[in-house]
Amino acid sequence: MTAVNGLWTTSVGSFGKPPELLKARADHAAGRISDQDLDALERAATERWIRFQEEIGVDILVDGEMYRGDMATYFAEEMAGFEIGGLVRSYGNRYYRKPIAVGGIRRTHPITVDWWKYAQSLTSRPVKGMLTGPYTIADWSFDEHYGSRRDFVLDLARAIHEEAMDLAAAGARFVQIDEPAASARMEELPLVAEAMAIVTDGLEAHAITHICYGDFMRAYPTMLDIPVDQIDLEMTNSNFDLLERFRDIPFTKAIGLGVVDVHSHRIESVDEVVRGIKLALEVLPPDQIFVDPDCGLKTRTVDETEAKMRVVVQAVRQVRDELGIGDELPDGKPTEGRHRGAPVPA
Amino acid sequence: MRYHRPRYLEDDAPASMPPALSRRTIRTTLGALMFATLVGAYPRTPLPGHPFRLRAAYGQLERGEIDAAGFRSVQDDLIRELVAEQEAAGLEPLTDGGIRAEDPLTYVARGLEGFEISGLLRYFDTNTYFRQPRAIAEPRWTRPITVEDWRFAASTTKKAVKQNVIGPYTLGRLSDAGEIAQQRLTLALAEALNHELHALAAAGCPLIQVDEDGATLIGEDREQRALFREAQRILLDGFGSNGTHVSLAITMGNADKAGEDTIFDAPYASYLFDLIAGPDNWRLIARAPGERGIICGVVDARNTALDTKEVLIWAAHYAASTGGRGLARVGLSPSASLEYLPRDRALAKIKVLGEAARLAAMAPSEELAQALDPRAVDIRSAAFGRYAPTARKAAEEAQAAQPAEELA
Repeated sequence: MTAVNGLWTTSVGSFGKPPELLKARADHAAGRISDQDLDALERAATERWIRFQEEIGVDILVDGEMYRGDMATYFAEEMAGFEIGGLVRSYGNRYYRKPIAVGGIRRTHPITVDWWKYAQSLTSRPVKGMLTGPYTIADWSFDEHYGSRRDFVLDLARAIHEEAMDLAAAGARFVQIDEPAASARMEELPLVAEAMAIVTDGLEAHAITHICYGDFMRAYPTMLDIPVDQIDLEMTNSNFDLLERFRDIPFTKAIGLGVVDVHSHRIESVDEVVRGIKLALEVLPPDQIFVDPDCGLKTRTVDETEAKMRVVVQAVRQVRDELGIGDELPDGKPTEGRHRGAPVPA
Repeated sequence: MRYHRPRYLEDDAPASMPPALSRRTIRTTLGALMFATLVGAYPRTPLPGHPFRLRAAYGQLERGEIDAAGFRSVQDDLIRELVAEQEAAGLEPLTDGGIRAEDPLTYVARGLEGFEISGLLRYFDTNTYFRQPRAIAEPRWTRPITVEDWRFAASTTKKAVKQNVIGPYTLGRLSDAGEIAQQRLTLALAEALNHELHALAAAGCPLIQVDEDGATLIGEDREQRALFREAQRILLDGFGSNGTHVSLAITMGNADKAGEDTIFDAPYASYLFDLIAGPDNWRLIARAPGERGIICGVVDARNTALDTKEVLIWAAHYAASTGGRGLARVGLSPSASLEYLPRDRALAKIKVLGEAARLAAMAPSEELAQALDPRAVDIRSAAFGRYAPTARKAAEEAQAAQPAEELA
């Protein structure tokens, strides 16, 4: 029996969509194919990604979000109180339809539960429930109704809480609530935490939040006040700089360690990824580390997505073998880390 | 109140006045007292129901189906369209919408020597990202970067066209300085970009806007304040009397904590301030030297709700009242790049902007009175750029609007 388990492999949520699905989504938007035709292709692509993750040996799987476009807009489309606006650019040649709050926001039906059940039915390994957090949905929407960011965020928190509870009731042991916008405004980190407390209240699952592309140096350690069991961070893009801070101010939760850049066509070498994992092991024990790409891989092609995921798994395997670390999974219950916030200065 | 023609549109404007919009193209085309202009960028997305040719062209370029010239011609067509759209809304000076730049930092950094382009970073608190430039040597200017872009946009209209250039402080602050200290990088950038400004002036560009959103990060840090001042002095070396109007734009938040001594130290002719994300920038406007122009960024560039023209006019007149400035030295603009909005909303906003500038310049008249809603201007809406009646007032207004027989 291995003494220590850890370095569990997973991914942040989205994978590249196969070309036939991209075409089908465009055809569906233009009214050339039916809902049923699109749904069949989305299910086929989901199954393909579940099989791929099993084949390469990922520990905690995702459904790849074959049925989603933008991560905020997807939820807004399904909730009462939103209209979907026109395209806006996020970077380069990437655009998304930005939601507009035009009334009080509320959930009218489960949004992701059927997709989670479908993905979980395809595998015996755990599949993560994937949600977008209330702060990010609000921040990435226009507001023509509330006039108060807090009111907007907290209404969304109540809606996302209902969805999270339904996922857990369906059997999800890991639920990720993405908050990529959380590190954009330091003064609003308490609001992020307040909203997340609503989302995770009574949630009997391992709760994760994902944060990326912000000013981590300023957001740390306040980000630890967000009541989740694990914080998933983009680390490669920021050269693993944040790890140094953990020497002075310990990271109090499990970490999702981003080890490959999702915005580069280049495929990292196994050695590069091993170096990143070993940097983390200097400041955190293996059972506090989950290993994944920096962010969702939806901007990559299928081939690039596969290649990057293979490198992640191979690197983890190499480090586990070298250091004698096991791969037995955590039970997916809430941990003490959920309410372990930023250390109080002495 | 008496209205008069802008002093700096006159040929006999005193030499002490800032180099004016008047001295070149604008004097012959800008007939109004007030003006309205974009901060810079405009949505490159199409209006609803129209094909998205630029996005398709990116894909075609990547797949080798079109060459660089073919791609540029698609950009050219879009710039013609956007310039015409601004012109029709009554804006001037116009911009090319920032169409050629993937983002304002990277575009200039790629044009200089001494940078490589690194990872993706969020631009301030937006959901828009840029690739971070990383200094690998002290940056050097070797060729014009934006001059041909300006020439093309200017060739598409008889109106004046301005050119945006990222400022040295912001580029230095948001870049990875690598082995170079931030101070050295910033001052080297100031020197490099001074060449760019002179190249634009030599090409006949009548108005250059230096974008320094990084000024919102200075706060009370003495070293950063000094660095900002020094960088602007180097950047503007040789300007002030050469006939080119150089403006400083600060969006994305409050810059007032940097102090007026920092912001107004360099001899910029005018200043554009974001007054939505940075309402405390009104403090700077109140302290701005009266001979400097002020452009009020009061159209909310980051929300779709339409702005009321009354608030815009109020802002223009308030800015005009500070320091004895007068309306002749005041303009209106969005609070930031309009690229944060869908195209149809951006278009609706620039129509309000153009109309507000037209009305602000009018002498008091029956038409002006009828065009404005006096209830729309209060302290809150002035600060937040939006009129929203209280629930009680809204109910009263709704009741008042009902036919008398329904009230019986």
